[in-house]
Amino acid sequence: MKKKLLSLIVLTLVSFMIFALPTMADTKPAAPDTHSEADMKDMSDQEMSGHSEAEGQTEVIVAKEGKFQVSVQSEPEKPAPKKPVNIMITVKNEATGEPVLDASINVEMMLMEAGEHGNMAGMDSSSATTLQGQAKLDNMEPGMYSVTLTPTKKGDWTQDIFISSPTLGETTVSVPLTVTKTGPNWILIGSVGGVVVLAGIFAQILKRKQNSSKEV
Amino acid sequence: MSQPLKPKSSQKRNFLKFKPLKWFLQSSLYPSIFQWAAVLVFAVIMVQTLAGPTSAHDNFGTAATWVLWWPLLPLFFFLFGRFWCAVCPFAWVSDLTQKVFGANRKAPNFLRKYGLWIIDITFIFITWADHIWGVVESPRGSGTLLLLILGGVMVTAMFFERRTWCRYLCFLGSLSGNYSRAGMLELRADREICKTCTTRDCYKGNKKTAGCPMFEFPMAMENNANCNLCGNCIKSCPHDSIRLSPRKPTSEFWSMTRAHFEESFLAIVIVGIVFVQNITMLDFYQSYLKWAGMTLGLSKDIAFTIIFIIAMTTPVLLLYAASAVSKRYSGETIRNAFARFGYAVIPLDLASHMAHNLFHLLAEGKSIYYTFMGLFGVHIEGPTDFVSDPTIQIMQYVLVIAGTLGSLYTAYRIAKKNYGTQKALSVAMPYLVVISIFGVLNFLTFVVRMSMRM
Repeated sequence: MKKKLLSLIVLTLVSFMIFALPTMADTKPAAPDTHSEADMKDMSDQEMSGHSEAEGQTEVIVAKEGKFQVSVQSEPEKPAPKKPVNIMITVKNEATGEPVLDASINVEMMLMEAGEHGNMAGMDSSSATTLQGQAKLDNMEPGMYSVTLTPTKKGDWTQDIFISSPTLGETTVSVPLTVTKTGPNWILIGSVGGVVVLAGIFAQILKRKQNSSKEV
Repeated sequence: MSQPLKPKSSQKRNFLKFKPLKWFLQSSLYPSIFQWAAVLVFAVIMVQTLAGPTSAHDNFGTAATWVLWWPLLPLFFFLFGRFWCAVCPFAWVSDLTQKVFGANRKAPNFLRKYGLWIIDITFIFITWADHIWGVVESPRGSGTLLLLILGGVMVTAMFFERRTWCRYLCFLGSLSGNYSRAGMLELRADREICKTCTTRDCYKGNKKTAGCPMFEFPMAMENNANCNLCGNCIKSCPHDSIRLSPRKPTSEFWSMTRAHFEESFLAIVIVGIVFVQNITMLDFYQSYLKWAGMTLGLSKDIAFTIIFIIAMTTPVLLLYAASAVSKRYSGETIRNAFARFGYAVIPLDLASHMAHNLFHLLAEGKSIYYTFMGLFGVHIEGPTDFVSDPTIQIMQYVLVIAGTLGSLYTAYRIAKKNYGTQKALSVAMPYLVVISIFGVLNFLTFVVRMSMRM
């Protein structure tokens, strides 16, 4: 009986280990993002339009707005809450294809809450869910500007990119961004751990039966 | 089909005559010293893939598994047989679980009989699932796969004796068995010595060492498929009967006496798997997806599944057709001929697998270092390649050509051994044509630059 109890305790501990390791990993500080020295601050309510079709990957979203050709990329591929996201915006002259180097670019990120709050359909306008930053010219490639923002919550965000150039005028581009939780899948881990524990108990019963039949 | 068992390797060249090596293999250091290192890395990989960064680009688990381990694996099998299986962390978990909780029941007959088919089907399913749900490119997908395997290993070890999982259920078992059979190293027993043995310690084990974890009896072992070079028989044999010898690559295929249909089936399916991996990286594939979506209204997953089924079945049908044509000269049943000559494509499988993954290893290899440093909070960005794309491509061509020639030669030698020199060419010809087609198609897919994993 003691052996059985001991086995169960060890088995539970092993299963607990399976649970504990990912928890330990989850509390590990993230690698700092050193992409840009972007200006980050909260901002007040802004009217915006957006949609939530993005999959949060590094797909390049290209938009042709007036005289501009704008492509937007985000890094990391799947942004996580409270982790910095580097937004890279490449601006080109739609007519010539030349990079635009004299643009002033401001980015506003706002969390869409699927109409939970009544003031503006689908938008959360609290300061924690509305972010702003000014994109600076990046040396990665001609016409690329970048800014780092840190989304506070998971969900579908929209990025309004305001572009102003002395030579080409002004435009606004809206791009969606999905922020997802990065934690472990506890249901899966729990299920596997549970199956292992149950199998362990069953195996112990079998083992005990075998031993007792041998003794007889 | 059966002939008297006769060791083909050069028994004169026995690495175990080198005393320091023999001492090391007989000591408790082997293979535990490698196992511990593997377990340590594996623990980090598990944590990273289950709970680390969700972007493959930043995840050490993804880099270590799919950019380092997976590309090196076929090379390991070729050089050292199934040595990896001896140091595999899952095997370590299996042994430990069994030691503490194991009921040590016999492996069920169902597994013994259909284990290879289960392995084949699982391997094909995982390859398909990788494209549908994302296993390789998604750290969480990789973590899920590893966790499910870990759970399976532990449950199996709790009930059944030895390494039942490794022998009958591991999805890599058939692949590693096939690749190691093409390899350059073999462990065999001296049958003359074994005839006089009454203890059978190599199989049963003794007080100091456990018996063969893979259910093999070295005296009767005539292929590498289930020997993982764990060293237990080297340690336990009281008569010094075990030999570790180098041999001519692929020679096992034409010297073997028993062909297994399941092994041949997987060998030929792998041709399709490598092909489908390459095809999804071509421009044609994207055009196909668009066409299937717009014209037929098919989702990406269904469109891929169609391509996948075609890629899997075409090589099987071609080999079947070759067997049907060859039957005229050999008089063999199609099933037997299929089983016998299916092994001939393994050198091409191995070479294509290595060529495909060579790109990931050499073009993305530095990401292993970058992501490793990320574990300590150091963010490094930079080029991930060790050598330029054209150089990698040349290496890929060389590998595919070598693999094709190896397969052609193997098919010819199988025919020569089984049907005599006079009939050899006519019996082998349909297979030579099919292997050449596979070789050319593989070569063509490597002309186009592949997609990155990281």
